[in-house]
Amino acid sequence: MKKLIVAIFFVFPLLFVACDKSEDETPTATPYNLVIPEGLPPMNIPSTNPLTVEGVALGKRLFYDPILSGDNTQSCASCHLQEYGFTDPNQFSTGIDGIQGERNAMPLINLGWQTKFFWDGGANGMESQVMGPITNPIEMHETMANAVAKLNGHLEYPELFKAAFGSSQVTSQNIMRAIAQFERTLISGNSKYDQYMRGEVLLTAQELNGKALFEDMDKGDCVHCHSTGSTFSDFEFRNTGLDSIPVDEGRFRITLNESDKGKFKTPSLRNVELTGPYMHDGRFQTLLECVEHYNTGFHYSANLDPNLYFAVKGRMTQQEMEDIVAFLKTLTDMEFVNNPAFH
Amino acid sequence: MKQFALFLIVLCTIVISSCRKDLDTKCKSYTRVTVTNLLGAEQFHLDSTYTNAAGEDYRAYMLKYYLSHMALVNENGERVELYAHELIDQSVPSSLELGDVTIPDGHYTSLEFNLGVDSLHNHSGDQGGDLDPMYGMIWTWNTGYIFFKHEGYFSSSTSGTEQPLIYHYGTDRALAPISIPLELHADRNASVINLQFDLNKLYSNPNTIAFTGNNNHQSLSTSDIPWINALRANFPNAFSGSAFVFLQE
Repeated sequence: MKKLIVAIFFVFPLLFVACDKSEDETPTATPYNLVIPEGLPPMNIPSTNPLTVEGVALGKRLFYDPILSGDNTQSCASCHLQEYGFTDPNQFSTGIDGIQGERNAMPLINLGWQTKFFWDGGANGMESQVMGPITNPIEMHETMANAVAKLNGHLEYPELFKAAFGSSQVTSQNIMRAIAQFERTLISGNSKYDQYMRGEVLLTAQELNGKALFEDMDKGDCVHCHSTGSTFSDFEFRNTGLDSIPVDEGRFRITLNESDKGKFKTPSLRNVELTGPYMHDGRFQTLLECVEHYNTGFHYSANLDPNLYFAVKGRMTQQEMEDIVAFLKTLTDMEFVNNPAFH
Repeated sequence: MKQFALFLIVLCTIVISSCRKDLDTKCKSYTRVTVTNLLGAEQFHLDSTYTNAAGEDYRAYMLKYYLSHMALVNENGERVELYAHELIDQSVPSSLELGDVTIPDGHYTSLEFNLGVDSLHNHSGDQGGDLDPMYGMIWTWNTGYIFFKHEGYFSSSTSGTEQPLIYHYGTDRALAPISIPLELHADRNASVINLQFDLNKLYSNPNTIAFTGNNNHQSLSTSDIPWINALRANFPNAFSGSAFVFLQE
């Protein structure tokens, strides 16, 4: 009995010590003060991944670190360049093995308001999206298992993960969460348009006319999908009549619904002046070509968006199209593309 | 060492007697599930050559699958969930031994589980444990888990040459609920449930799946749907199980 008591005395303190230790290993990271510019709606951030100063900083470092690619030569930033609104000025990006994809890199702007990612919406959340480019054989061509192993063996990363997530054990989940945290901070809300909406500046007569045409259902009718106000996207999937028989089946690849053939996500128009070339396949070089496509260039098919189906071809004059382009350029936010917090 | 043994005996006595003393509250038993991949009567091995029901020789270098929400069901139809999501990987012996769990005493008559990942968990890679994307069981461009992965080679019945076989089975429509009958009297005891999966039955019962001309399925095209439906119908017949008590208090 005496021995039992001795044993209990030994075991109990050990339990308590072990307990205390695990609590020490979970320091709380500092909440990140995300400033949502006036005019933009509140951002829906998953409760499982609140933004922290340490998490955002880690995500930024990972975003710019080629360690996440198979041969350590490319980072997320290789194809998402800040000066172009975090997209690639090339029609198609080239991966680590020298292979080009078939879709234009998407800009990373105000992603926190989106719920589905990639042109076809194949990723259901910002965290899940992170895996796509890392593991795609024609992009960064790495496995999540290798990425985790490389970061765990790195001199600095385990400490950074501990600061951000409470554990120095790097996991794929925390890689995804850190990069998603950084991406949620990539907010653009100080373009000339925003300043105009806040009553700080005036738009020119041409820009104002472009805005009216953008919103006019009988003219540009851009607003149906590129909702004015703040997001400049309805985040839906639309067939915009790029081809009567789509080469790339788009959203269909994900849902296998016939009605989704040739549909792609409506991209936001923020910083659109900088994010060319345009469309999912980067087929248009200029904004005027895009507007002209919606004026006369679109092709009819069973899945053509109803708003275009009912639109009259040639309904805009050259001047009107140029006015719309002038308005689109008011969405350029130089503070965003030069923001030192993002690079 | 002797002292430690004594300590254990005393501790066990305390635990067991406390259970006896309080017969009104439910006493507990222990169980664990062990998974064995089979080919007929033989144990399945990676890289060994087998013959399927269609008469094609084949070998696999990879065999992995998810079992989710595995539960024992008692004679009153009450479920006791044992495990949430378990990745079975033939190349990782520890993945075949699912952990010890405590269960309320009772008479259990079946084991229920899904082959695959339920739709609540199937659309986000932001998960840990066995659902960690690190295990390569997820489509990263179309978020969803690969429920079952068989990769290897087979001899084509038309050309006679060896060709690659890639079967990646998944998507919500592929989730296969499975219930297998067993007898387990949990009465302050410890038991093992042997769960067996027969790969040849998966490719034959009731739908015969021949590999020739049918050797690349990734579940994400409309052309994969008949193949998914055939396998989903076969999965419940590929599993069998039995329980035995190995330690009775």
